Amino acid sequence: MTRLWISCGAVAALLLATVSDAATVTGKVVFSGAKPV
Amino acid sequence: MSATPACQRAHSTPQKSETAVLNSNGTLRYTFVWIKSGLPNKQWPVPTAHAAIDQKGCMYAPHVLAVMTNQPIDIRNDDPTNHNIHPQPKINQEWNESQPPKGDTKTKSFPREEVMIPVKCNVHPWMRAYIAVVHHPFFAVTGEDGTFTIKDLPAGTYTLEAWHETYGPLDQQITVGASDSKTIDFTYKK
Repeated sequence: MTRLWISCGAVAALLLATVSDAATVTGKVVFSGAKPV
Repeated sequence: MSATPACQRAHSTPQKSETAVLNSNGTLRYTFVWIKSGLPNKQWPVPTAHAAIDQKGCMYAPHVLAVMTNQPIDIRNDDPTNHNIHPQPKINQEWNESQPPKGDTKTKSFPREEVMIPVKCNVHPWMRAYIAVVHHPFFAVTGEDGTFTIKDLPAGTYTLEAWHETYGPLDQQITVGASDSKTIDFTYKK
């Protein structure tokens, strides 16, 4: 049972590491000219 | 649109062109934002989920669609009238197919990266859409709030491009580290 918990913990840690390595880019597209028709 | 009663009946108010839609907060709708270059050379998994483009009220919905290469695209006709959908790619193969009123869904895909593919209807000349086809999942299309989010991007230096059908492309170089959350805005000055 202990070995099972250790394995689950290792997999969870690996998943967390994989997810947290990814970056996120957010933003908006602004229009500053004359209002489009 | 008034020349086709079935199209006109679908709208309670006259439809405006979607070639440049300014949101109430000063942002632009239907701008395609994507990682243009800098990604590692690898095969990104293609979503099994189908993308979709609908012909509804004699308009394409969405007006700008973004998919991955080889991702299935369901093409629907919700209108009580014939349509003839006609993508006009320069890199992928061109096709042109009619779809009867409320006809069966067609499923298509594009095997090669191409930004952008104009789409027209041979029956209704005002109908226009654009399909972006890219080989990776790092893209977004701005909506009613003009924002975009690109998630799960590997650390690296990239060219981030915004593409708008009327105002063209805008590029920015960005560098993101592992776990970064970065805010990048684009401004069109016309």
